[in-house]
Amino acid sequence: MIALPSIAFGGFSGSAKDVTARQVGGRSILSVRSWPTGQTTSAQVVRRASMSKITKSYKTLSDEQMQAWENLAKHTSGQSIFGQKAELSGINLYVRLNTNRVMAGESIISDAPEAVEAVPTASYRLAVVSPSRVVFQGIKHLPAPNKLVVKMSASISPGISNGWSKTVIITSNAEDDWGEADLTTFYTKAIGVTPIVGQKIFIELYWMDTENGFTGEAYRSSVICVTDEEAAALVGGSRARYTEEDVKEGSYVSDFDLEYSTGGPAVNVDIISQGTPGVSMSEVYLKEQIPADRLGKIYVVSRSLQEGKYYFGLVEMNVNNTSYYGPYIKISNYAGGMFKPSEIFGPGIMLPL
Amino acid sequence: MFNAIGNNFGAGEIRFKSYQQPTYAILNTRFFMDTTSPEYQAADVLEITVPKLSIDRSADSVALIVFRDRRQSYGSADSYDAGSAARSWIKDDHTICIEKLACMEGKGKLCVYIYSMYIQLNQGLPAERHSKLALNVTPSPICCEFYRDSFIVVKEKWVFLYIGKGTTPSGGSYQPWEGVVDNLPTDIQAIVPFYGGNNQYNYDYTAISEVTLKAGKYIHPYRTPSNSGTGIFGYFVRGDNQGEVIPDIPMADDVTRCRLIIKNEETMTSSYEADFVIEGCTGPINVGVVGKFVSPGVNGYAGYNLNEQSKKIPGGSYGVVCRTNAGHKLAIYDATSYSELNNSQRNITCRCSAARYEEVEVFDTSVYTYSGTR
Repeated sequence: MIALPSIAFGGFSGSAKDVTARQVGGRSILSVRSWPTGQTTSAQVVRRASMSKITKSYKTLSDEQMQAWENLAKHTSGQSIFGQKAELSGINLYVRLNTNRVMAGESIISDAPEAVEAVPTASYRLAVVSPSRVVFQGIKHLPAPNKLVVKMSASISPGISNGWSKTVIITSNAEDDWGEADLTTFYTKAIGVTPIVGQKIFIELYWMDTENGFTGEAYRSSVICVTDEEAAALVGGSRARYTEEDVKEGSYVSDFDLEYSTGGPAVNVDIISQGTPGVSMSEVYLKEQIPADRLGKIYVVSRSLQEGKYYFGLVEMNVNNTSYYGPYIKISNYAGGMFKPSEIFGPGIMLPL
Repeated sequence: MFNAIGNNFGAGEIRFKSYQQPTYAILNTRFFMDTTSPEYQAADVLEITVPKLSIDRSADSVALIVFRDRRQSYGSADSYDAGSAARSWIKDDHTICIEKLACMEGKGKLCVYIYSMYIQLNQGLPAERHSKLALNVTPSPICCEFYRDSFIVVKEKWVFLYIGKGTTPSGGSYQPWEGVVDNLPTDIQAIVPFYGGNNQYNYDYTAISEVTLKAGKYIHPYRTPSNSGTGIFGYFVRGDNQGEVIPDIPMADDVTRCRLIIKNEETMTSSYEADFVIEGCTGPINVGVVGKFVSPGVNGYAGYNLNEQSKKIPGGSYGVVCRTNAGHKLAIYDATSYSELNNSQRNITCRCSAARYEEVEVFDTSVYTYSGTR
């Protein structure tokens, strides 16, 4: 028979069966060994292994380094579910921050961060989940070294109102593409099953400063999984843009990004032009008819990519639906020479054809 | 117009002309840096810290970077300056970045030209399509002509222009020249990199010289390359750009502009400290205010008696934006202020919601509305 100490008496510690008692910062803490409730993801396995490795590495620090972590821990509070601010020890903080860093693909830091700034709370305008798409829009951007950590649950009954404990990290180093993050691949890989229409998905997002491992407040929400058609209606069509996916094979570009959704006086261009052999231009064949509001002549800077050559010039991009080539962009030298290969980048002023 | 607060590559003053909107910014500057400075050598990306910009990041834009190469030839110094294009972008609302070009290592003093637009992506609205005007030049003396495809897009606050210079007739090379350019607004003033021309000593780069655009003229003071395929292009902010350009405020005609300087013991009598300028025009009534005053009364009240009556700025109330620095605390807050100018009594009253004895800084970036003559 195991004699369990009463919580009426402080100062006890030790483990009995699945219960562990310990003293931290003057507080008595009883914890019950937790067991995973769902299937363990590969990311969780990696995270647990890295935590163990990080914990062991703390012992290799010098006394000065440990003291620096202790000092930093005094100014950093942890979460507590009892309403009392939990105090962190140096090793706690060391493990927490380094686990975050490792999760984001960074190496372990031995020295405690000197300057720590608050990491803002993550937010977004729209989350759309369908069986084949997981997309966030309107993410309030933070520059590097901040990375977005996204936790999501598998499909849960829509009647459940609190399912954030079921979330797992689907990505720890997402970067939004101008407020948009397509996390479909991450979700499928982490959760393993596709979302079910009509079911609820719980979401937790937070920013992580990958330089020091500190994180911002988590933004929690949930979304009902919609059909792919409904998702396309919600997400699609909002960004007028051509990328490599819209370019036919046989085009004389190796990278292609032409965006019209700038809300400003110029389009944005980022292209690597290989040049059509034998002529002073580069040709791009698009898969789909070009809408009338995207037709025109665009003027933008080019720079040589030839080895050891640093020329620059201005090119004209003639965007048109032609009878011979179909939807077609002709990139030709306008000033300063045509370089093959070259990179064409920056804002492009657009004039009518 | 604004000055950079700092940079990480050891350059001196960097001054920008700008036109800023919620989805884009046009920046114009020309400054120097030195590749031999330790700061330059330590930097991976060249960063310029600036006052708050209207956008907090941008897609890549362009900066042109030029190195000097002057050689003596038959008693005169010929220019073989040359350069390349670097990517430039707004990293956050206080930082403009420029790609550090490896090909410029060891080139010494460099000149950086930014006549660029910085835009954002995924804004939900399509880019604007513009109409163009042809650019023709009437040079004096006649030594070259513009290409027929030279054009300009003229907007209220900025222009985009491309000038392609044609061949120079025999004897016209190396002669300084200037010409009046049709359709070039007279309020464009800039020293602009002119690409192309002789670069026999730096043939891996684009040759660069400088052109001045001023008062509707194109001025090429030094080398005028004889070959064709040369010219200039860029986005240029219009006007003198004193203070940030505020959207949709008509430019003041020079004839109607006037200034009222409020300065202790010079132009006004008062025991209150003040040092600010009101500038406006009688045409569309807009008034700019820049400077500081100390509010000795409740609610930031301060009154000044003017030595002379203001003849041009009409009396009335002008809403402006100001900020205070209370007791040198870091906490700075914005407040709306207004000034009342009474011409008949030659005094001006400034009020804002600042507390007593606070220093009130009034920005020239404010929007000023006139609410009627008293």
